[in-house]
Amino acid sequence: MRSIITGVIATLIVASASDSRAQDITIPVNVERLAAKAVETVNVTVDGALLQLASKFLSSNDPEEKVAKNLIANLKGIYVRSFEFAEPDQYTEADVESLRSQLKAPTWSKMVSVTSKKDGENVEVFFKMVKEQIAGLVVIAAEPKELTFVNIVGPIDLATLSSLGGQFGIPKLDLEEQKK
Amino acid sequence: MAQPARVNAPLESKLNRGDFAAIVLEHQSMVFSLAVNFLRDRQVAEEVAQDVFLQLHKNLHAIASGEHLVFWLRRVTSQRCIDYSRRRKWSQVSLEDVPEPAARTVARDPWLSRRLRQLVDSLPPAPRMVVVLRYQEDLTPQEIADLLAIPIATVKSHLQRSLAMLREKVLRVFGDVVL
Amino acid sequence: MTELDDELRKMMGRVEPPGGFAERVLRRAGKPSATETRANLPSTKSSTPAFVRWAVAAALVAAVAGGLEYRARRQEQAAGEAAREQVVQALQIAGSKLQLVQTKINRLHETGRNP
Repeated sequence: MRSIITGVIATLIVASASDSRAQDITIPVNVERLAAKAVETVNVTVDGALLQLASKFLSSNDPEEKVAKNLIANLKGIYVRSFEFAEPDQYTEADVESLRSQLKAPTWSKMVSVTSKKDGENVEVFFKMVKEQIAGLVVIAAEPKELTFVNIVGPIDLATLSSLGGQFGIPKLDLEEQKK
Repeated sequence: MAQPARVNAPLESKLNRGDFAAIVLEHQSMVFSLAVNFLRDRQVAEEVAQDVFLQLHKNLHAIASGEHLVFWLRRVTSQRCIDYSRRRKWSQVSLEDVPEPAARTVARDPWLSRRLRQLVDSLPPAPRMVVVLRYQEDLTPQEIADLLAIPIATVKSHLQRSLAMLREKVLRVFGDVVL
Repeated sequence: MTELDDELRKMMGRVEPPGGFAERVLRRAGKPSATETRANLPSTKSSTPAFVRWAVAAALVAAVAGGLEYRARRQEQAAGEAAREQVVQALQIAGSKLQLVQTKINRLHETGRNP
């Protein structure tokens, strides 16, 4: 039985190459404070030397790790903030907006926004384009009991990244169909 | 469904002859696997497994049968692993060191398996060992209770709570997966 | 049996120990205990030739240096594995969210609506 509905916030922030840290979108204090209310928090910050080290430890002989290794080969950073709450309404639209407002045109483009009134889910995907190439990705997923910000900095193969959610055996997320 | 103890006539004769080497070869996979599935560190698992066999070497005279031998090895390995785990908190998990099971074919769901491994590793020592014995050795709750010398109700409680946690946390990452 | 049972059973399959495991066990079983070994070590009193004492000291220094190097390697390995796990976790989350979007868009297309 699921007594707690999952909430995940993942933030991906794309940063300029000159910064010591690749992340160039700050996580507002109000968002960081959500950790105090969350029953579970995922906080991933991997960039620079740590990302290179992680790459070294991803095996080229393991098919799925090889995919991940190739995927991160040219990345500058991966940042995730994920908060899961026991109850709904633990974060506000202002919290989400404080991140969304940093993703401004022309640097950032919103590629897609999917809202499910039934589930109360709202997932937005933003891209940073440099010379007609994807140079960064941000996903903001707001659900009743979870908030997720994911920020991948650097050229990212979207098809490959998306495939990590299914091709390698993770069951397809046919949410609506299973709820029927 | 309990996996029958790997007891057979040749083993009995090995015991009778005191053929310690044959016993090690026969049971090294079981002992090492219990240790590595629990501790998640091949070097430490080898040390623990070696110590188990050395302890057996000193107590070989007390082993009554092949069935007793398997029970003894599982119990001592479990105790040593739990003791070790309680003495030392593991901050990192050496997944790189742990090969896929020899009998395993193509990984159907590697990312899910990886997440499951992390979640199992996060369990406290006693419930973790219950899960390892249940799924590696295919033991029944009663057999696990006998082995760890704890009430069967405790074993069932550990299993139920662990599995509920695993289901919930896997769902959290992978969505509505029917498990 | 549920799918979770099945996954756990596959995940916990038996593995073989590193090569030479049985030989190492037998070697240890056939050797005197560590305390006995120490008791049998030659005395290092002043009657011991100087070159022996220096050799022992050099061996000790080498052992300590080797130990430190081993520890550093273990620390680097732990850091690398932690980083790898973080990367995998982040990619899992990102991939699952993107696929969620994809699935919903596909469903909308199937029902003839625009996203």
